[in-house]
Amino acid sequence: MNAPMLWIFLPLAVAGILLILSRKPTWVRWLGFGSALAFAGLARALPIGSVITLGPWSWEVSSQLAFFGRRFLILEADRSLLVLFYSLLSFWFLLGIAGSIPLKLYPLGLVAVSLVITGYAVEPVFYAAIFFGFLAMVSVILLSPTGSPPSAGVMRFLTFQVLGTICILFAAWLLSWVDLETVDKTLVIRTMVLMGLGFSFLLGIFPFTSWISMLAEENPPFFSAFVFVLYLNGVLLFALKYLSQTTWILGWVDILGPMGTVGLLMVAIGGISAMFITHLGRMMGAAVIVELGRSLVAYSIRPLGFHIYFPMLVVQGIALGIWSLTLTSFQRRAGDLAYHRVHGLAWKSPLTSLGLFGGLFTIAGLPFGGGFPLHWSLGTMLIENTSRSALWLFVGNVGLLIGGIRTISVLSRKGGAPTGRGERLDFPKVLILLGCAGLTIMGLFPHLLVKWAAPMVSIFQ
Amino acid sequence: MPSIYLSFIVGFLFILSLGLILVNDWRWMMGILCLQYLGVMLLIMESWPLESAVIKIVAGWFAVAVFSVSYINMGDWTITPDPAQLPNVLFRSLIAVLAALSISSFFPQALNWFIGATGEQVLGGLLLLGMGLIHLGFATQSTRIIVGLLTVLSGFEILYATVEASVLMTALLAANHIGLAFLGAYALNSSSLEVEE
Repeated sequence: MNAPMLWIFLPLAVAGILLILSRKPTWVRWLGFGSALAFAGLARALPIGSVITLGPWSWEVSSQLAFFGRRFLILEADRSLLVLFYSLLSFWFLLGIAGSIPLKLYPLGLVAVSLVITGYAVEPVFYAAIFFGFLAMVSVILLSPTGSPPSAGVMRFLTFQVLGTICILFAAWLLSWVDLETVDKTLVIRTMVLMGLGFSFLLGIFPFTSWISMLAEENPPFFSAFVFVLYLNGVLLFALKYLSQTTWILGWVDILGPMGTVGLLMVAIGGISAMFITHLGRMMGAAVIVELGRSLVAYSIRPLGFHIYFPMLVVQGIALGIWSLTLTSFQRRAGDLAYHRVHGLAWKSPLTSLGLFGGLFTIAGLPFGGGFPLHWSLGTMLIENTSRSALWLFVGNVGLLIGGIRTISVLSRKGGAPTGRGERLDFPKVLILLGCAGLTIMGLFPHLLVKWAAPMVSIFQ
Repeated sequence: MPSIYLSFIVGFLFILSLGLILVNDWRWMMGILCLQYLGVMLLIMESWPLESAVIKIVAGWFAVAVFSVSYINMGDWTITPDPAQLPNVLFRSLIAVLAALSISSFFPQALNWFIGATGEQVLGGLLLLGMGLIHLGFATQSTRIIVGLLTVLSGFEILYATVEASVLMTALLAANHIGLAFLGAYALNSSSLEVEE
């Protein structure tokens, strides 16, 4: 048995079984959730590369799998990443069960995470670009509601992913030309420009951000948020691994400076646009753009920024989860998430609305939310470099806060006064309340989160 | 293969990719796509042996087959809006010629980048990349976007075949073509799929 078999191919096999069982919805939901949890548990419990003894039996989970002359490598240190991704998946599956999300979430969700792990594990690392191309295809099916064709935003997303893959493969090939003894700086710069272009396509980095807002507006909010969390963070991880394997480039070209600047630009753009948005889905898109910007800024302050990025990923995963669950419920009630359609919904569904406010204000960095201490630390690190940079970060947070306040005012408008009947506390609302409580605990005791994420940070240091 | 034949293939690829942008009937489009994959294979054969290069045509024709079956299921062969009106044809052709001219001006510089490639391979690859991008620029329908992406990928593969011959990469790129075709089929038939819950 080897680690890639366990955490890449076995989930794919389970996804196949879930597809076969699609006539039994309850089975699919709980089997999907159970298997994601089991994969997270296995990653937590099974050491890679050392002998495990259980009574008379003993075996070793080896770290690599050779495949057509290339290899997939999952090291002992990578177990924390496996735990993170499969735990997030099981959390999203649980939200899916609560929100009666279409069944395709479970098999395709498992396929998506196994593709992210494949992208992370494959050697040479640039092969990951192709696997993210496959993940984009899976995402297109996830994002398109059954019975209607893919939206314009989804097709733009797919187009950008294919173009990004091509740029990265070209750049990786150009990089292989660079002679380490007599480095041709022009070639290195050309390679990095192409690489930057590739990752900009893949991640929706400015000026290719349009698909993020389009996806958030036109597609089911739950699936959009799921793709944002999984796809974008998967690609970020790929970028991080790529960068950590080619650190010598940093001595020749300043990559981190432009990365930080673009990140700040995205934070500012997302924040400012959040102040004027009149659609709840687009508001989530703006928050994702801000989060993406923050991630880039955290990357640019390496290695200290990694201590912020990984906890931020956890907070983002939970915040977007409960936020999108609320939006799904609102969409079912109002038919559309435009502001004029959701007037007064907070009076009719106060508990459900908590998911939106909890998620939005956490990402906006409101004190006592899970995001606040992380954003504060990121800002502090930036001030040590230049105070102007920290100001842009602040602009992003303030923009989201103003957007959040506008959302509160729309959702609590008088037109939708209370109906007199209390909102029943059911499973989705319990999950939303637990999510909000979890985010508050993370905001009050951030050191626990940072400590939990420390093994992931150590992988890239 | 003699250089004159290769030049002929490059010219043929340009006409085919222009045809993809202009035609209004899906049967024509699928036929042109088949011929385009044949041209791609012939250019790749300059760098790879036939038994490896044939993977490109197998994957490409498989993708076309997947697409075609979806159209047969739909029973509708025309594309709306119709690009085959005269002003449309003239405008699109003009853009394609301009793109070809700018690619040919960039061509000598590109030759220095792809050391192991022949001039025809570089020109053919760049032309398909450019024409695919133009196709993407014009496309509004999801299936047309997929055809544009397949053209871009084909152009890329001609260039990439001159620098990378790994079996896994070849298989993955072939799977990319087939995957995109399945997405196109999904987009075509999505309205007839069973809605769950």
